[in-house]
Amino acid sequence: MANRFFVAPAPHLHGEMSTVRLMADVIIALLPALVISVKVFGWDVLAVTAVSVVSCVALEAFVQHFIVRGKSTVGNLSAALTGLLLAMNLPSNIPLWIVVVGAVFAICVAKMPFGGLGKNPFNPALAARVFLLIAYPQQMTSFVAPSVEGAADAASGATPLAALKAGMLSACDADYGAMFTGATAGSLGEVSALALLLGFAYLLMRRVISWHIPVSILATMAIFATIYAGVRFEDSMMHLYLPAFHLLSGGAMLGAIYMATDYVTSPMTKKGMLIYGVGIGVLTMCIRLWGAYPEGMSFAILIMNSVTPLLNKYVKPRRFGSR
Amino acid sequence: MMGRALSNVAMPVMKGCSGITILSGSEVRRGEESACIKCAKCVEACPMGLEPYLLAKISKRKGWEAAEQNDIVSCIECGCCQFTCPANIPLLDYVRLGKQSVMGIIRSRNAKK
Repeated sequence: MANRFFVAPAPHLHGEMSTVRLMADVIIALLPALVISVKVFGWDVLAVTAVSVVSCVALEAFVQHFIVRGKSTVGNLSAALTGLLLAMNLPSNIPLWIVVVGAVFAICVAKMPFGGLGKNPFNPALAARVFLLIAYPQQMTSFVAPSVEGAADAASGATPLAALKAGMLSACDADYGAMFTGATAGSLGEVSALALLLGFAYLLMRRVISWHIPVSILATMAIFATIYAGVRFEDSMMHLYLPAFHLLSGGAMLGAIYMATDYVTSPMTKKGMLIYGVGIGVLTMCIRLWGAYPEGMSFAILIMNSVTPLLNKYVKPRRFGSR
Repeated sequence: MMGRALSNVAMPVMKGCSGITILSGSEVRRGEESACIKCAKCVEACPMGLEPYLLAKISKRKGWEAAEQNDIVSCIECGCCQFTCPANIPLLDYVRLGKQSVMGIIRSRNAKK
């Protein structure tokens, strides 16, 4: 009997959830943003994305085969997702060799030395983005103007956030329709809030992520911006516009929905997730309003990534029956 | 989910036994274990508010003291964590091992008093 039957302790069933499926779901959720991006910036987008994905996958296969000497981990799609997320964080006109440098940093510095998937302390795609931003600031911050009609304010190719920082744009005059649908300058993935929200809805529906991290980040940013506008500006229109501007501009949506929710580098408990989200929101707004960079999302997420182990240690779920 | 596996036909059936379930091979086959991606689905699934990923990791390393501090004995062995785990980690197997060891330690500690 023992030979013909598989005998194991309970539970005898397993759900349909799998690592590959989760990774594939996130990739699917990013597709609307990619489509919008191709529409806005042209075919360069696909070149950047393809180079990023292919080099990430190839590098992971290389490291796993020749250095770790373990079973191939390319099949779990995590390297492909890292590549896609990295591409989402780059301008469309970036030289392709810089994309490869970013992929090398993501896989060979931020991910594999720590033990690969599940053990990296920092989000590899974001670590690579910040590395590129510091190493190649000029290439990383020159954007092409979108090619969609009706994008009058973006002719210079400056992102709305950079324009606001430089004083070229007031939050009251920004073209919110363009910022929502994606007709502004910026990184591949960050231009269209609409596409990102579509992906968010898909991720929530598939229960890949919970609402805690994105909502706490965006709510914190909105509240912070409202208080700042209330203290700083007399104009009551500004009190409404500034929060909306900060939510729709830059990497706020991309960061909150796709980067901060990265399983490996975010806290395990719901309470921890809320603290983490609030932390990211506050840090992002501090960097945006008073920092040297117009965009603070990536730095804020990396800083909170480093707090995650601490949150996992001290923020425990409520045990059933305890107070 | 919580049923006891029959390892041979000599297993006795008791009064509390409400039925015998026979599952097909594809239903019971265990997937290959891969690295924990810290998705927190086990924490979400646990009805007792425990952290199965942590308990399994601790049990694997035989850290019984840490397991006790993290309330491993509260586990009701429902198996929801293992059911939901996308990385196919046999969480409950490890937790059960740790729970038994910790309960043994607690019993011997109480016996000394």
